[in-house]
Amino acid sequence: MVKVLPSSRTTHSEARVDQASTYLKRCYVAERQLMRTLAAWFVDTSQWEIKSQLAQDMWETAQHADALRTRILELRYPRRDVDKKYDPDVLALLAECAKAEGHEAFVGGIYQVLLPALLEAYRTYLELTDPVDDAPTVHVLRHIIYDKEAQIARMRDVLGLVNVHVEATQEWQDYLRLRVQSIGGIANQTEHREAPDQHPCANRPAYSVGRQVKRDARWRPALFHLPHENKYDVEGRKAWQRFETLDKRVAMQVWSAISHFNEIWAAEVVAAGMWDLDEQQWDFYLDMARWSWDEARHSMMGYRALQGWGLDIPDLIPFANATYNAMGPMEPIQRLALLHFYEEGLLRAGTKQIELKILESAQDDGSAQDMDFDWADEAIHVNYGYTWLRRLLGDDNAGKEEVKRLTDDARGIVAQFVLANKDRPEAQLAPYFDRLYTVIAGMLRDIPDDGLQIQWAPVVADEDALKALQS
Amino acid sequence: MSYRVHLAKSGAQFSVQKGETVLEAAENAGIVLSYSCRSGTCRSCLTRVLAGSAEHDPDYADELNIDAAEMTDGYRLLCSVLAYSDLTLEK
Repeated sequence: MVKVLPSSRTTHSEARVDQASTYLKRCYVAERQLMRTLAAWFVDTSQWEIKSQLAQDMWETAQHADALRTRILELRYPRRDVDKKYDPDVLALLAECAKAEGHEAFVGGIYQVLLPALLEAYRTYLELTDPVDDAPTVHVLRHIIYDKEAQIARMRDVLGLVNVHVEATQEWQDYLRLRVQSIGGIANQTEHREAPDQHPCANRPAYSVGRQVKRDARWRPALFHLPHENKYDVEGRKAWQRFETLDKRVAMQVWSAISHFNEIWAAEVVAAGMWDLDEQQWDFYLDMARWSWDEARHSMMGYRALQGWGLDIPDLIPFANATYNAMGPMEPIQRLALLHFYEEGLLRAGTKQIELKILESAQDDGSAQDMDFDWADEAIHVNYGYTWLRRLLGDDNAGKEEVKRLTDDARGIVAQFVLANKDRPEAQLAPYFDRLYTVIAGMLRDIPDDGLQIQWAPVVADEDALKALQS
Repeated sequence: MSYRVHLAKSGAQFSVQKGETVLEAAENAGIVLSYSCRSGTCRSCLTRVLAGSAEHDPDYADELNIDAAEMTDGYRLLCSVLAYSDLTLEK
C-alpha cells in the first residue's frame, strides 16, 4: 500500500487527451467529407436559393473541419497521420450521403440526418470533457454547434420559401439514419446497430459531380450572359450598346450586376475540383472552399442588385451555363488553370479598379460596395490559383510550361464550344437586352456630372483606361 | 533621399522616397497603376524594371508571389518594391 490524496474531483474516463483526439478525428473526417459533398451538390443543384445556401454551408463546414484539425494536432495527434487513416465507417457514411437522388433528398439527408448526428456527437463530447482542461475544444465545439444549428434553421426557412418538401424523401432519410446508427454515431459514441445493407436505398453506384450544370427552371435556358462571351452574336452586341448610349455609367451598373450574378460558374468550377481532386493536402480544400464561396457570394451580390432595382430577374436577365459546361471535357486542374488565367488577367488589366471608379461615379453605393469587396476577394483568388497550380504542377519551368499548355488548350476548347453553339437560340442575347433596355431606360435619375472620362472597354481593360482615370 | 521613377510607355514621372514602395509613390503622385492586394501575392502590379535598382522589401521578400526567373528578367511587384536609384518601368 502507498499513501496518496484522494482525487479532487471525479472525471469521465474517456475525457483524456488520446481519447479526445481520436473522437475529434472522426468528427474532422466527417466535416471534411461533408464539405466536399456540399461542394459537389452545390454544383449539381440548380434551385437558386438552395444552391446559395449549400455554398455558404460548404464554406462554414470547411471552417469547422479546419478548427477541429488544428485542435486535434494540439492534442498530441501525429501530424503525419492527421490527414491519413481516415475512419472507413465515416468515409462510407459520407459516401452514402452523396448518393441522394435529387437535391430534395440530398438536403433532407444532410440537414435532417447528418447534421443532427454531428450535433449529437459534439454535445456528447461537451458532456464528457472538462471545461478547464479542454477549454480550447469546448470553445471550438460551441461555435460549431452554433453554426450547425443556424444552418439547419436557415435551410428550413429556405425550403419553406421555395416550397420544397424534403419530407417526401423520408425513406432516404430513414436509410441514412440507420447508417449513422450502424457505425455508432459520427464519433462512435453509441451502440452499433445492424447495417441497413438490404434497405431499398442501399447499394447505389458511387456519386460523381456533374460535368454539365442546369440553371434554376425559373430562368429560360441561356448559354451566355454578356456579349464578350460570344463574339459571333452581333445582334446581342448591338442590343448591348444601347445601354452605353444611355450613359456608360448605366451600362457599367447593368454589366456589373449581370456579370456578378453569373459568376456562379466560377464557384462551380472550384467546387467541382474539390470533389474531383480527392487526395490533396488539407490547405488545398480550405482555400478552394473559400474561393468557391466567394464566387457564390459574388453571384448573390448580382442577384441582390438586380432584385434591388425591382427587376423581374428570370424574365430580363440571362442566367447562363456555357462556361461551366464548355469546361466539361477538361480535367479539374485544367479548369483551375483557365479560371486562374481569367482572374489574373482581369486584375492585371486593372479591370476591377476601373469598374469600381465608374460605379462610384454613378453614385451607386450598393454596386460600388459589392465591387470593392469583389476586388479584394479576387486578389485572394489569384494568390490561390498561383500557389496551387505551382504545387499541383511543379514549381519549376516545366510546371510553368504545363500551366501555359493547359490554359492555351482550355481556351481552345472554350472557343470551339462557342463556335459550335453560337447559332442556338439560347446563345442569342438581343432578346434579353431589348426587354431590359425598355425597363432600364424608364428607371434613370439625374445626378451631377463628375467629369469622369470613361474609356471603358468591358472585360478587356488596359493601362490606357487606367491612365484616363487620373483625370 | 528620393529617386525619380519614369514610366516608359505613358511618359509619366514621379518621385519615390526612401522606404516608400513604388506603388505608394505613384498613388501619392496621383498616378493610377494596376494593383490589388498590396501584399505581393496577387501579381496585379508585376512590372519589368527597365533601368535602375529596385528590390523587394526584405521584411517579407520571401513571401512574395514572384519566382526567381521573373526576378532575373527584371520583374518586380510594385506594391512591395523599394527604389535604390532612379528607375524606368515598363508601364
